[in-house]
Amino acid sequence: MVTRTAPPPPRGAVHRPTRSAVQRRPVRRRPSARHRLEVVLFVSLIVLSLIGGRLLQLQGLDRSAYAASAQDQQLQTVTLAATRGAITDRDGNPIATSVDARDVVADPEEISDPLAIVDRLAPLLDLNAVTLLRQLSTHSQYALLTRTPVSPSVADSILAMKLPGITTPDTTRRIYPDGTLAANVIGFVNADGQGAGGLEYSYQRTLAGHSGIERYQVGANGEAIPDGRTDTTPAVPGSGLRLTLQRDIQFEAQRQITRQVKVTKSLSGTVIVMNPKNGQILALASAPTFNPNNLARANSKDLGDPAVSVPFEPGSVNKVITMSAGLEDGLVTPDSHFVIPDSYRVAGTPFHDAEIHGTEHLTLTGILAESSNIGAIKVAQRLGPQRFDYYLHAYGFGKPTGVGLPAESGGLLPPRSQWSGTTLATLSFGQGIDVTAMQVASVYSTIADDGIRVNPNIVEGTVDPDHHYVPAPAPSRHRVISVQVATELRNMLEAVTSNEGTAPAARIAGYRVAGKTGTANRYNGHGGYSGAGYTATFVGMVPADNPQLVCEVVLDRPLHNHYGGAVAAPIFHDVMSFALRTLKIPPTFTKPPKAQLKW
Amino acid sequence: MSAAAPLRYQARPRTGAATLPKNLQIRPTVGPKPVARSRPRLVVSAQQRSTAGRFAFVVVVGGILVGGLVAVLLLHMMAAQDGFRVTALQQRLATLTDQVQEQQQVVAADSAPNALQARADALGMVPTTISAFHNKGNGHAVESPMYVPPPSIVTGKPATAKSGAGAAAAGNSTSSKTSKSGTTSKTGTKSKAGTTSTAGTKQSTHHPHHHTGR
Repeated sequence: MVTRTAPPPPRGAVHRPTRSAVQRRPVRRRPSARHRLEVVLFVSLIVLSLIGGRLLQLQGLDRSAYAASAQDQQLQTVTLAATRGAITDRDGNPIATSVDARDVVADPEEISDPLAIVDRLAPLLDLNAVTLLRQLSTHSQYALLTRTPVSPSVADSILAMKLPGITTPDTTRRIYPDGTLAANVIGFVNADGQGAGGLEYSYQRTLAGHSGIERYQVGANGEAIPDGRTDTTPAVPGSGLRLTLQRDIQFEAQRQITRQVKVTKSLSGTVIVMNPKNGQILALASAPTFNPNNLARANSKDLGDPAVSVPFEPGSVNKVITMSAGLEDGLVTPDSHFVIPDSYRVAGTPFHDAEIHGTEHLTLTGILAESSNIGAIKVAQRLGPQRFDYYLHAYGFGKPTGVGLPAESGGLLPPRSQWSGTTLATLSFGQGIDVTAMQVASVYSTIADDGIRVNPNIVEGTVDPDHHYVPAPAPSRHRVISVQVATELRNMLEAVTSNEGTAPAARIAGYRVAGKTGTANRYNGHGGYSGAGYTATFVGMVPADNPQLVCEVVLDRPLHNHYGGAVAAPIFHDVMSFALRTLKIPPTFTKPPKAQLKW
Repeated sequence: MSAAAPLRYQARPRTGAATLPKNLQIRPTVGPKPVARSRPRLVVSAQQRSTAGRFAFVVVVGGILVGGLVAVLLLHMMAAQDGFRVTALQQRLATLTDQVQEQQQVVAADSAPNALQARADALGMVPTTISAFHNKGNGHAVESPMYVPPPSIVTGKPATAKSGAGAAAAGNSTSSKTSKSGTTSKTGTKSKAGTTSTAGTKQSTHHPHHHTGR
C-alpha cells in the first residue's frame, strides 16, 4: 500500500505548527504502542498490588485467625469429663460415688420409623411409650431420651439393636449406694453433675477435678479420620472426701429420729453424735430427709441440714452455760444454796419455773437437775451481763462453727448494746437467743473435753486421685473453762438423769450418763410464743466421768408430749447405746457421786 | 575411539622461542641435525572387567533391599496386629471395668445398713441390747446390762425458808413428789422436764433485735 507522506522539512528547520492550524484542524493523536504498554503495565501493577496486598492480609495479618478457623473445621473438640471424687465414711464405705454411664440420645431426623424404636426401647428403658414417641417425632437432631444415664450394659444392649439414629455417648453418673443415709450432710448434684447441696456443694472444687480435652481430625461429614491427628489433654479426676461419719451409727441415728419424728408428729428432728476429744462428728442425722438418687420426689424443704441451718431457742440446755460461768468465776459452787420462790420479778417482769411450786431451797446442782428458771436467773445476776455475754461468745454462740456444711447459721445472739432489762434473765435459761443444734453440741462437747472447745468437724481428710490420703487441718481448740469446773459440771449433769432429775429415761445400763433436757417455747413468727409449740432437746455425754461420746437430740414442735426428757431422752438412750456397742466403749466401772439437790 | 587403537604420543611443540623477547631468543647453532630417535608408543590398555563381582554386588544390595522391605512389611503387619489386639483388649478392659463397677454397685447396695437391716428383719433377727464387759480392775467378767445405781440424791429438810443457812440435811430420802416427763413415774402431781415457761409479759420485753415485741 502506497501512502503519501509529507516532504521532509528542510534541514535545520524546526516544524512548529501554528496556533491557527491547531485550532483549525484538531489532530486526534492515537496512543502509541509504548504509551499503551505503559498503561497496561500501570494497571497490571495496580492489580498485582491489590492481589499482593490481599495476599499479605491473608498470609500475614490474618494468618493466625484463618489458620485457627481452618483448624476448627478440620478438628473436632470433645470435652473429657473428670470423674468426681467419692465421699466415704471414716472406714472407707462409699456414701457417694461416680460410675461410668451412658446417655441415650436420639437424632429424630434420622429416624424414619419411630414406632418400631418405641416398641423396642420403651420396655428396656422403662419409659412411657407415648412420651418416647413424642420425643422421637420432634423436628430436631438431638433428643435426650433418659433423664438418668443408663448403665454400660444397658447401653450395649441398645447398641446391639442397631437402631438408626440412636446413640449412647459416654457420661458419668453420681450414685448414693445408701440412699437416704446422711443425705442432708452429703447433699446432691444437679443435672450437670455440679454439687448443689451439702458437702457436694461446699467441696465442689475438691470433688470436681478438671475436665480434659480431646481434639481429633474429622472428614467433610464430621466423621473421625482413622490415624488422623489427635491431641488429648486428659481429665484430672477429683479428690475424694473421707468423712468423720461412722456409717452404722449414722444409720441408727437416722432410723431413730425418723421414727420419733413420725411418732411425735414433729416438724423435724436432728441427732448429732460427736467425739468430744477431737470434735469429729460421728453421726449427723435429720428427719425428714430425701433420697439423692431420686431428687424428683424430694421435698425442697428437706434438702438442707437443719442441724446447722435452722436456729432455735435452746431453752434449758443453755443453763449449763450459766452454771459453768458462775463456777468458773468462783461465784458459786455445786453446793451453793439458793432460795427459789414461785415467782421472781426482773425489771418488773415476773418469771416462773415450769411448774407451780412453793418456795424451794435448792443447791446449784438442784437448780440444774430440776431445771429451775429462777435459779438460773439468780446465778446470771451474780455474773452480770458483761461476763455472761463473754461466756456465750467463748462457747461459740453468735457465729457459725465452720463445720464445713453450706448455709450454716451463726444463730442470733443479741448484741450486748441491745440487751434490755430482762435479756440477761431470759438468756440464762435459753430464751431470747437462737442457736443451732451444732452449736449446742459443741457446748456440751467442751464440758465433756474438760473445758477445751474443739471446733466441730466432719471432713477427716481428702484422698487424691493417686489414692494418697491427706488429713484435714487440725481443728482449732481453746480452753473455755477449767478442768475442775468441767468435772463439777459433769457431776451436776449426772443428777439430771437421776430419778429426781428431768431425764431418767436417758440412763444407759452399765454406764454413767450426764446430760440436760430442754423444752423451749418456739417463736410463732408473730411477735410471741403463743400457739407455736415447743422445741424438745436432750444433750448428754457418756461415760460421765470420762466422756467418749456426746449426743444431742432435737425435736422441732412435737405434738405428742413435748418435754425433752420424754421425747428426746429416749432417742438419746437408743442412739448412744448403739454407738457405745459399735465403738466398743467400755463402762468405767465407777459409781456416781452423791448429788445434793436441796438444802 | 576403539580401545585397541594405538594412541600416538605427540610431542608438545616448543613454544618457548616464540614467547621470549627477541633479544633473549637463542639462535639455533649450526651443526648436524639431531638424529630422530624412535620412542616407544604409549598405548592405553583395555581393562579386563570382572562381571562376577558386579553380579555379587547386585545380589547383595538387592537382597538387602528385599530383606529390608520384607522386614518392614512384617513389622507393619505385626504393628497392625498389635494395634488390633490393643484395641480389642481395650474394649475388653472397658467392658470388664463396667462389669466391675456394676458389681461394686450391687455389693455397695447390698451392704448398705438399710439393706442389711431389711434382711436381718426378714430372718427374724433383732438388734442386740446387751454387751458383756471384763472389768480389768477386779478381774471379773461382768454380765451386762450390769446395774449401775442412779446418782444418789441427798435432799435437805423441807423448806423452812432459811436462805443461805447451809442447813443441808444429810438424809438420803429420795424425793418422790415429782412426776418426770421421762419413763419414770412417781406419785405426785408435778410434771416437769426442764420446761422453760416464759410467762407473763416477759415475751414482750426481751430479744428486741430478733423478735421485737416478744
